[in-house]
Amino acid sequence: MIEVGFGLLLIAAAVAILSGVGGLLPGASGVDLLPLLGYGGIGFLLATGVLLVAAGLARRAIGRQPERRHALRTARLTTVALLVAALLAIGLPLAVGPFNLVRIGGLPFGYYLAAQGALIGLVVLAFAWAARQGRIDAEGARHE
Amino acid sequence: MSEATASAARRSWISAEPLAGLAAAGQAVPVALLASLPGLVFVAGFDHLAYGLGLLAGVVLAGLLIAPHVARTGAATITDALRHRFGRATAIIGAIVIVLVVLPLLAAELTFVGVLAEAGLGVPYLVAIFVTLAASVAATLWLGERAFAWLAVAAYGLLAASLFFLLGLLAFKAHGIVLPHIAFGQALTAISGHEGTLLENGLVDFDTFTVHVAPFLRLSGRDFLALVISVALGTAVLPPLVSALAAGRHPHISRMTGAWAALFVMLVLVSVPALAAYVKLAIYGALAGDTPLAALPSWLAPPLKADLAHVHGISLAMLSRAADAVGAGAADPAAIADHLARHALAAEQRWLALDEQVRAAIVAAARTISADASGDALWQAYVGQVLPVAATAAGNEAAMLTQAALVIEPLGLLLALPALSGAPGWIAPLIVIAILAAALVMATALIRSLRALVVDEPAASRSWRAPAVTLATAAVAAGFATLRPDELVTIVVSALSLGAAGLFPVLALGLAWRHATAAGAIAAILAGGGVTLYYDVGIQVFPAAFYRTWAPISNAADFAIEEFATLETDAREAESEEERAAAAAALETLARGTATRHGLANWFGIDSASGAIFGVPVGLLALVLVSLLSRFRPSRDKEP
Repeated sequence: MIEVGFGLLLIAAAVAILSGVGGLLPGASGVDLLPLLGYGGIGFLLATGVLLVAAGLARRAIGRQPERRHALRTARLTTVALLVAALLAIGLPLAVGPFNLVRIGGLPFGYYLAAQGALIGLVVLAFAWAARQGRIDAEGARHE
Repeated sequence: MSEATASAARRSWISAEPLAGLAAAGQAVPVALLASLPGLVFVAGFDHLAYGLGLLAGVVLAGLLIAPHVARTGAATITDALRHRFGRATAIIGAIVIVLVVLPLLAAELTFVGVLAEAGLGVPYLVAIFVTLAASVAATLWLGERAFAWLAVAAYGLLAASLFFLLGLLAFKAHGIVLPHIAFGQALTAISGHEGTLLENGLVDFDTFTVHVAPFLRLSGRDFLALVISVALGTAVLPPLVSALAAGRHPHISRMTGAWAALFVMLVLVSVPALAAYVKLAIYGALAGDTPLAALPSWLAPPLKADLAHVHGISLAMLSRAADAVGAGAADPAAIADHLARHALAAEQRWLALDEQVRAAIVAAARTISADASGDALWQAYVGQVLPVAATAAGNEAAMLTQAALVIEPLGLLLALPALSGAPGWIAPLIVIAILAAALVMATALIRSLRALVVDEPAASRSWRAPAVTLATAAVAAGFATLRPDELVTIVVSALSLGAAGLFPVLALGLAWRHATAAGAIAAILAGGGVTLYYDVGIQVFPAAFYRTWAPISNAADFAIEEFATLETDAREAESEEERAAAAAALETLARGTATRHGLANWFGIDSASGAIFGVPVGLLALVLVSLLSRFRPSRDKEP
């Protein structure tokens, strides 16, 4: 259940920063984090939090219902893979600003990421996804 | 897994995963869009990278999410899978959506073939369309799965090879032997130098100029998101791609095939930004290097002849058609406008927008060349007589080739590529033929997916229904194509968007979720597809009414809203019927928007083609809600 706890903390932090009370939280240094993180950064925090909670709940469900193990593991893999795909194809290009501050061989890194990096990442994701689902299927077949 | 090993034993070369992936890649991307990509990235730089990201994400989702679900039901096509899982009614409604998606894609593909064959090979437009159509129908009716897969492999290989060849030549011209995919960073640096020069010298038109690597100048972040989602989810459920990946395969094999297809599509897509960068380097080099209009570069001739590029609003095609009109006895501007409108409405609009003295200069030039209309005389008259007058009229006193003066459409850039790269003259037709072959394969794949809607079993293809449907749908698409629509990219994106909204929820979630019911599936298709269709058709056909209904969530600026109110008052208080019609027409144009100005009719500023961003969530919601509500009723469709 530790993922759920961390996830809820992250979601709470994101909501706190969004509502402007970030500086009032115990332990915070009184700095408003909104300008620093931007809405993209807060979206990332929220997504990570939701992902952690979902992962924790899925693990719990798998523990409780061993007969649905295969379906739940497949659903978890699909969710994670879809989030990674969304991050590569949408999140990365939308958060291109900070990456563009870095230049490699004269090429702004953010532009490179959107032009090639994200595409290569998507192909790696495709092979990893196929291999992982293959393993889940094979294990499912062995248990049956 | 015995099923898999048995099928592995029967596998031949073409069903090995990498090769099958290559065949699927050849049916994955509408070539009308793929071939426009270098031109799109050339125009808008970073923002149009959205197309490539969307296409590849779509291929990944098709291979890893949709095709395995379809394969698991034992079906070969999307409609088969819907029939197995949800019954006949859902399959029929799904088939209607597929027809609405595939027909525009096919029409765009045929138009693309016609335009490219006419400009690149000199084949008349209609002849090219009907030859392609005949070949596609023949390949649909008589070519087996395996033979067609080999054809797709060959066509995709040719397309990729010609792209790599041009890219290699362009990169070699710029900086010797390098790997262009890595070295194009230097090209981008050089481009930003040229951009700086152009900006300093005031040679740019801010309506069309974009700093190449700067994000979100042409599209907002929200537009970018909507475009990526529409293209990705639309490609993920593209019927020929899903069939190519799913047909007769074990889900695991179809996932591996999908991954290989993604790899091959990626190899082409990563070349696009590099190609666009080298082309931009060459063209902006000419712009920043003070090229006088009198010494217009010769690589501009192919797109200018095809009316896919123009300088100060005038193309060689316009001059040549004006010469035809003058030769036929028409001399006044209105008669020439009618003549131009017979070929393309866009040319007529550009003609009507020209200055009086520019039109006079074109008519005068047309008189001198109507006697001997050789290509050389046309070029001389264009450069020597027409362009100087046009430059003066546009305030371009120095008569230089400027960014503001030169407009190249995406397909025009494709035509200019061989000459720009310095390839010998005989290469250009070969490259055009390679691209045409890829387009032919895609058109055939689309027609095959329509035929599959009526063919349940291979044996049933003997009946009269399959050929009849094949011919009828092909004829409808050809009918659209003969109208010669512009905006092929918009047509493709709209069609993908509709497919995404109608089919993605039911295929991605409906086939996987055991509680999904037939009622939920039907609701998802109708609600998702309906919202997207309403958004696209509403904005394109009834923009003013659409804006009035949805004014609170339009992103229209205050001055545009005031302009709209003024025009509405004009329309109401107009004294004559003509004035009223003129004001109403202006109202519609203002609400719909033009190429350089956003319309008022929209939800949150999203482009009418990218409506999947609304349709997909609505479809998912409808699927879940209606499935849960209908779950408690006994239904014979409900099977785990």
